[in-house]
Amino acid sequence: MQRWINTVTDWPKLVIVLVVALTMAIAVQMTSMKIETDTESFIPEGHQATLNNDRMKEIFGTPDLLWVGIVRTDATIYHTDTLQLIQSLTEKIRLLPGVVDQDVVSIATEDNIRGTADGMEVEAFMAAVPESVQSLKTLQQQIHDFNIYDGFIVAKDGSAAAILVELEPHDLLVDRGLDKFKVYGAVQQVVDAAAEGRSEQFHVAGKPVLESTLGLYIAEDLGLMMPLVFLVLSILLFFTYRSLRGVSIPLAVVSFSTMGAMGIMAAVGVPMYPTTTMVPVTLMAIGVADAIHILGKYYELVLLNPGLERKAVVRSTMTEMWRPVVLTSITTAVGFLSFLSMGMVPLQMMGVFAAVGIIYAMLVSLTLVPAMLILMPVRAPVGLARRMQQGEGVEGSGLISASLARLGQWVARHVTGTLFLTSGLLFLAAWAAASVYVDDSYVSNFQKGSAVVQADRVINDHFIGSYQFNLVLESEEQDAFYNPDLLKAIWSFQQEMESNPNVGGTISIVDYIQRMNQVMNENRPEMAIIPDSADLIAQYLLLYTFSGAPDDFAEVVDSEYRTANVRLFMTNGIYSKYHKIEADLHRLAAHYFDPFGVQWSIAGNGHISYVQTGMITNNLRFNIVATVLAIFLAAWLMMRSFTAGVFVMMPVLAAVIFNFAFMGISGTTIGWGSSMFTSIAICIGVDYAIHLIYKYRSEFQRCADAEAALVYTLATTGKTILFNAVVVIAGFMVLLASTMPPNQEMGLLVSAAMFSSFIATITVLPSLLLAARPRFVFDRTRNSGRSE
Amino acid sequence: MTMQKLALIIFAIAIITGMASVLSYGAEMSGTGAVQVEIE
Repeated sequence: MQRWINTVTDWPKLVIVLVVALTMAIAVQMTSMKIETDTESFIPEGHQATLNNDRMKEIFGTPDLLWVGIVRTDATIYHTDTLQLIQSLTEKIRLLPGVVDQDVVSIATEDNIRGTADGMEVEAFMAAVPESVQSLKTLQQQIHDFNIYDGFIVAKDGSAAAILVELEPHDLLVDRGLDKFKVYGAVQQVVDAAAEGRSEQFHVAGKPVLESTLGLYIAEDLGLMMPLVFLVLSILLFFTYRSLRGVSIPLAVVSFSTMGAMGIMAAVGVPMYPTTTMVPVTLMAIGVADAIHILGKYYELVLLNPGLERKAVVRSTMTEMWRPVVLTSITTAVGFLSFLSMGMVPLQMMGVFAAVGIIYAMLVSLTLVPAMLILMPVRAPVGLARRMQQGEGVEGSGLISASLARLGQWVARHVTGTLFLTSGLLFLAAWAAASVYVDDSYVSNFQKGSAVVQADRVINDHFIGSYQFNLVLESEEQDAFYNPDLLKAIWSFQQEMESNPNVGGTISIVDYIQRMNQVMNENRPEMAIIPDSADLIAQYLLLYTFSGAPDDFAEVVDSEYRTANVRLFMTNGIYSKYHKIEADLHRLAAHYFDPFGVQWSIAGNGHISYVQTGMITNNLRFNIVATVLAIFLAAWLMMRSFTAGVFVMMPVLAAVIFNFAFMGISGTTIGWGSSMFTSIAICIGVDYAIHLIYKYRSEFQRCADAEAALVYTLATTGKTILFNAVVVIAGFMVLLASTMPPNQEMGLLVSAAMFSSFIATITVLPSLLLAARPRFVFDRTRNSGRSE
Repeated sequence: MTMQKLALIIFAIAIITGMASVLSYGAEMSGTGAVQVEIE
């Protein structure tokens, strides 16, 4: 390593040119970065839920729908002018590029089934917009009678109508130079234009809307967060060092590592997920630490050895600092890599590229930082130098150092009290932490009062629901779904599922057959049942084809009647509300369909989001344990002491417990944002303990006085740790300005964890060291030759 | 046993209890938490 340091300090300009050139070459790749908000891509490829969903789409082509809601607060939508508006809006939306023309569904497009003397007739609900009061009433009655459409295209109370828009598949959109963002934008434009001067309320919702809006938020967030963190860091660095080098060196490290990580991410084709928007902020807040610690040591050496030649100062600084810099970077990176155990792709990518960025920051800190220091004249901050000249020593230089030194003295004299007090608080925290649980929903990515959340609420309050589960039933026999017993089983299944308050409605081939039976029996309501004869059912379906479109049932049954799709519409996408739905789906599907030898599988966006959040539930426990073990092992190996590994973990574990208690008390649930804080807090917080232990060991080695060594350690390294914590806290607090609540939550949680981690590092850790007096610190013979 | 040793032992128990509580988060709120749902 010494050779590396000598080379870097001998060739500073060449080193700077190489680092800059390499980083720029990588950073150029960022221009090709894509944004990914589709929940299906959040689950690893080949997962059963994705396979089920792909198969469902392949057979039934039922993609996630875009819902346009037209709401009347003064009356029902059964008014000529409102119906005309729905008709014209439907026509305009059908013509938009990227929209599947024949799959736009509204009261203006759908057909009614009517019994006639010759059989049955399929005719449009609204061949022409009704104008007389009587014809408007008839239309209302027809919709009300046709079970499927009541609550689906018109609200059950008649106060709202929906236009359901199907977007072309992703590949087709791409071929046409489109994407769902653009199609949604075009639909919104048409709706906005139609809304002008109207008294009706207009809302656009559905999964494509949520995904498109989240994409916009991600882009907005990146544009806002990065400059904001940069600004906050600059201000903090300026007020700390009041020098060009104090600001420029740490900023260079964080900028280069962020560009490096994001460039590599784009180069290997990983898109920007909602989670990875936090990578730049995380890197900026963490990456600055190495430079701060190197600068801290540099200033300490300059103050203690005035007149020392610049190359000698830089070489001594790097000789003492490379080990903790490498150790903290590796432990942090290893901790982030434990995100690979989270199952959910966006969380895995967050971990991987944070780790890449941290290693990049480490390499930049070991090359660019000494090279830049070499090219700058030797100088320490004026304030510190003045105090040193007044004979106060490093520990007396500055109010903060002096306060930390006093704290060190106090801790050294109250070891037992500190440990008892902390233990008491930990027991209380353990009790509070026990009420934390997992919950999440796609809508929670948005501010509560935002238009997208309001639209989601309005649509789900008025209609059967914009979130879907699908039960796909597959039989080996052709015409299996003519079997009345099987159809009755489907109906019973639907009825039982509809008893769950979160299920707004269900649709299957059974609804159509029951309607046919009703109209063929004088439209008597009690005849809306499945007939007992398979032949009769076959006849109905044949009769239907004489006047109905051949693909009218394409979304609920395949052409051979071998595979059926039971569509269940949910009025919300909240994970905790889906537990019973998932359990019932499994139980009832097995109960009703296993006896028929019918294969069943669960699909739909609701199931996908349930599986995705379920990955957090199932994997977070392992992730926390893996992070703790990985960092413990890294610290053990690199500090060559098992006990050191244990001690290093104590402050961060205490911080995590306190944070969970905070979550329990504040009612914060574990979602994708908050699931990451534990590992991040452990990864970053452990650095404080490592720096403190290194310095304390080295000081004790020097003076052999436990209290004096602690006082000096807290006054010097303690101050650097404080500054490091302030920077990380301020950096993560910037996330509070994010447009996405999970980012805000995560910013708050990491900041809180960093605060507790810092407090624990400067109070609990020294108390533990002084109480246990471990050999890896206090055995001077064993430790001679090791220094910071 | 000195008070410091006792303090160390109690601290170790507190950390273990705390981490056990952290790791016992549940899939849904139910009393004090800890309801597990297995997903395919």
